[in-house]
Amino acid sequence: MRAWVGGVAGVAALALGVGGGWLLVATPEKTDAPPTPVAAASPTPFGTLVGVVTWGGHPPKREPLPVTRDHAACGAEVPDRSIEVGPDRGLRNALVSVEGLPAEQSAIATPIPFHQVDCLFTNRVTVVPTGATIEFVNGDRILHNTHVNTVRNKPANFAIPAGKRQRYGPMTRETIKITCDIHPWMAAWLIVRDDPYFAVTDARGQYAIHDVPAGRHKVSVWQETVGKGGVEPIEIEIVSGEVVRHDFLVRPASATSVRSK
Amino acid sequence: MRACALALTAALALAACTRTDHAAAIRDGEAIFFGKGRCAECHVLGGRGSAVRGPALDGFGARADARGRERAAAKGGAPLTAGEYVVESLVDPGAFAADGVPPIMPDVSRAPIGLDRRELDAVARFLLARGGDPAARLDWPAAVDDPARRAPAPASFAEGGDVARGRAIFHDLEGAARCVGCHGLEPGGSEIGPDLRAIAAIQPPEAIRVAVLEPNREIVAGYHQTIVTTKDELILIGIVKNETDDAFDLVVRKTAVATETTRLAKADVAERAPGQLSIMPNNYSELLTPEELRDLFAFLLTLRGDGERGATRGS
Repeated sequence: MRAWVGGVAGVAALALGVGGGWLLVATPEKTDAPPTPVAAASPTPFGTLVGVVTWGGHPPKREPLPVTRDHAACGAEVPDRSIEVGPDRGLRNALVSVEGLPAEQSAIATPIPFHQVDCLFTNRVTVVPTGATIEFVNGDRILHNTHVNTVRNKPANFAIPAGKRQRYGPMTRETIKITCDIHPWMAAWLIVRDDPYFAVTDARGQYAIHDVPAGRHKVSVWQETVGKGGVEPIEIEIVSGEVVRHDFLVRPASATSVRSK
Repeated sequence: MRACALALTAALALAACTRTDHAAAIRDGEAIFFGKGRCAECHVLGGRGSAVRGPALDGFGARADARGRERAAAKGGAPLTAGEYVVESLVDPGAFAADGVPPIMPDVSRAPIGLDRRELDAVARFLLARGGDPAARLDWPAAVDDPARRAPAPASFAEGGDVARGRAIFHDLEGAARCVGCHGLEPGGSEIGPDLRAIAAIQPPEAIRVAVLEPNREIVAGYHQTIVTTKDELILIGIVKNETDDAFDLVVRKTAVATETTRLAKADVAERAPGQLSIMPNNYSELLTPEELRDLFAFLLTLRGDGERGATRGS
């Protein structure tokens, strides 16, 4: 459960700077749910996986996206945040996942805010547990339409007037692109997970996944422009009570298949 | 026909006469196709018209027999002849939509298009002449002669609506609806949504009401998105084009003016799901009051492709 709190808080802290708020909503630690039997054993059967995800090849040249309407509210252009590379080629907003571990339901009763400010989604990647409800918030003074491009959740395309909110959920496991059809440069990812063994990289590409059961696990890295295809599948040994470090290099997508017009 | 009747003395003369008659009908049909019939609002033919909402109609006559067989395969019943197929396509277009095109086409014998039997016949022969036999037998249902079909359909939901207020709601970029943000009415306006400049001239009022309040009931061709997930869990959302047996293009909107096309091999695709929703929001019945909706509908019903530009100047 702790990993869930850390994971969600990490995402919130990145973009909102208010990570503490998540601790209030992630209350399962205080419930009467029985503790995991192995948790009391000694030595602890959990370890930590940390590292840095870097962008392979040259730092991509992502031209700012032109704003074609609502300049007063949105400005003249917005950054293309589909690939964000920081110092030392650290790749932001990559999702590192330990795979194959059992689901852990983590009830979060309070709706999780999903903000739209200055004609951008504040978070590029938001990860929430299954069962969570989202509250889309329009912090701008113009209308946005928040389009949930889902296959497995309830289809939704909300027109949300200035300053208004719209709840959506509860949600089931899926990786969903959220868009605004009025402002086609707006995009963000809402990833619904039923396990806590993941982390989203920060602006330097750093990640940390805590409380991973010891053992050999497959670890993947997902990034929105390459999916999981940027990193070869790898197995990593998590050692009880230790911090295991593994860095990843994400290969860019093959440019040959993409053409613009 | 009277002149023809006088010449019915020789088979040769009959043939010549029939050809002449159909030539006139084909000429009329072309004029109606691009004029009163408004067909080119949604169909392209000979490089004229729009290819966005409906299929291109070049070669219609050459395909009509095959379409009649496709229809039988899809819907049952005996294969339609080319003549039967074109008749059905014009007065009961929802019966069979070829190539998976959404069945949004109106019955053109009814208002607002309202073609009469002679006009229907002319358009049908013009279409059949695109590579087929324009002399095919055409059996129009007797109902096409009912003048009530061509009377404007009632629109109680717009009655008493204020067109000026509706126009303001449509154009208000600060408002809840801001329709013009996606449906530009001016040259150079937004093309995110379908062109509505002549919508009231091609669709009956009820279809317009449904399109506003239930935009997901029929998503206009060319605006239907597909969510593609590759085996690497790369997720792309766009419009599928140029599909072959083993690959397809996905056209993804990048900005309001630019798209990015990715050629995807089907072997690399794990899942391909139709986007279940129109890009048009589906909560306008909550965002607008009943009075505002009434005004908006009253305004939409004035969009006949003949003066909105002047009407909105300076707004």
